[in-house]
Amino acid sequence: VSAVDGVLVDLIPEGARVLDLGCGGGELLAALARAKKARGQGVDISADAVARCLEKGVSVLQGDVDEGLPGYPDAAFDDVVLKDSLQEVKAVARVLKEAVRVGKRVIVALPHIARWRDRLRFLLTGRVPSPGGVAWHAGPPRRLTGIDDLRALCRDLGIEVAEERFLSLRGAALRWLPSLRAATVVAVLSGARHG
Amino acid sequence: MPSLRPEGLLKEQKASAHFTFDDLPLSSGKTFGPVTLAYETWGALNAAKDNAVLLAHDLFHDARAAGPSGWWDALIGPGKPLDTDRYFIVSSNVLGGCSGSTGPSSLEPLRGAPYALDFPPVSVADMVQAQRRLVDRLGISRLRAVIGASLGGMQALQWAATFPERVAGAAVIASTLKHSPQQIAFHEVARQAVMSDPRWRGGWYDGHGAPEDGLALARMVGEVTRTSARSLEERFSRRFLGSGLFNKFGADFQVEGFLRSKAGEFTSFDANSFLYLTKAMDQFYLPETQFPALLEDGPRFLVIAFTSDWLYPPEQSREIVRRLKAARIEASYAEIPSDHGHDAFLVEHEAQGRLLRGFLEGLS
Repeated sequence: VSAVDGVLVDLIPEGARVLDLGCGGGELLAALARAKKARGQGVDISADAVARCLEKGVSVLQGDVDEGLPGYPDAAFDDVVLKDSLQEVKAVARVLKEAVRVGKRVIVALPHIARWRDRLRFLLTGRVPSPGGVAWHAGPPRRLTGIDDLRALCRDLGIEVAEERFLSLRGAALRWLPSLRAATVVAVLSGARHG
Repeated sequence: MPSLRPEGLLKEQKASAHFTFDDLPLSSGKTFGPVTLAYETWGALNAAKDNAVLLAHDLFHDARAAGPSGWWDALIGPGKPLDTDRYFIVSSNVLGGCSGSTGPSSLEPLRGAPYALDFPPVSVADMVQAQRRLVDRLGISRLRAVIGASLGGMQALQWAATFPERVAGAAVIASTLKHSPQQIAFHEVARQAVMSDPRWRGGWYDGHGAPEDGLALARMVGEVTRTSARSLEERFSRRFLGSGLFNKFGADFQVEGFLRSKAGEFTSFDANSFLYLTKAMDQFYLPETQFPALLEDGPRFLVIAFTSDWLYPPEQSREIVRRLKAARIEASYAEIPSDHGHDAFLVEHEAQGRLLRGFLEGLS
């Protein structure tokens, strides 16, 4: 289990109903089923991911994260997880609003591209950060994300940020100056409606 | 006569078993009987009786799913996705069919002649009720899964809706909650082809020779709708059969020859059975109220569509998924890339096999 998955397993309560948007091969949902008896549902665009989920006994819908939420009733899930996927969706605000409608809580895990090194490099060289060492022109289209931007968006959308956790590149929990040091941020969000 | 087949190279196609029961209350309100279902099984029921998988066939096939002429032989057998070392596979010919189950061509017991149009209208729900008797008879209280494509997918949906406590998983392949007007229209063209054959004789053709020309035409319609533009292009393109010169409406193109040969294969199907079964499919409809009634620990679903299937397009499968989402039912959905149109479920063995193998393993 990866460090981020460890944090998510820790955050999600026993027996929760969990929707994992961009679930990949279903590793997190399988871990949650084992450790927390959680009932999981995944969404992923990749055909290979769908087959790998099924092999683990994880239910998964093949489709875009953008299309994964509509159709579910309000508060259908205890937790909606967006792990490493929100930076790749087309309409971030719409997905977040839908997520807080469908889930009582939303847990977002994002690359944190606002470390002091990223800031200094941009200031001195003018080159944009390349998260995970992937150049700006390579890999799938994705947004550059950081905790301050996420907080600002949530404020605009009326979504409360209830909890934040910061992880170093090696997966260690960070407490001191986390927004300058963290490689990954995990934020627990809840819609105003759910208080 | 001694067999010339070398041992071990060809499996024998085994004969179907038959199960008969006295009467079946139909969804039309009538009670009908006696009813016989022809069925085949592979593998063995385990001591816990939790390894049974029911296979439901489509319009053009029957219980013979495995074996040399089996329509899913690539998927059924020892070590295959529907692993007969692990699962007890049950495959039954539908009520209303013509491959050993009671249908319009069966003999009416009192008259000793085929029911023909005296056969009652049967629905997909009736087919499932009949299968439930067979499943009871085989000592299976809960099926690990019901798997079917097309008409078979309708049966899988109906099983999950009617007997949620008796099905752990439902695999619904290239199917729909209800036929669209387009699907009904193609069926109507095929039915009209049968009924406009003078040898159909209003359904009472027994003893006069079957309406083979009408059936052949019906099969051509079916064949065209089950394939795709791209697969026809790849298999035949505009290649000629002979010189390519106009030969007074003989088959000029390879695709015409293909249709004619397919049509000839279908004439053993009972014409009235074809009419009844296509009607059952057209009438199939699972009302919205059926799904929310499903139990919290009821069946899990696997819905599979094929990208080039325009007869049962992926949109109809996504509609099933939307229904399941609204009912908060755990579901998996996969869209398999294929150029084979609706026939893909008979062709795309590897992709389907991987999904079905995982789905069956993940159920308990």
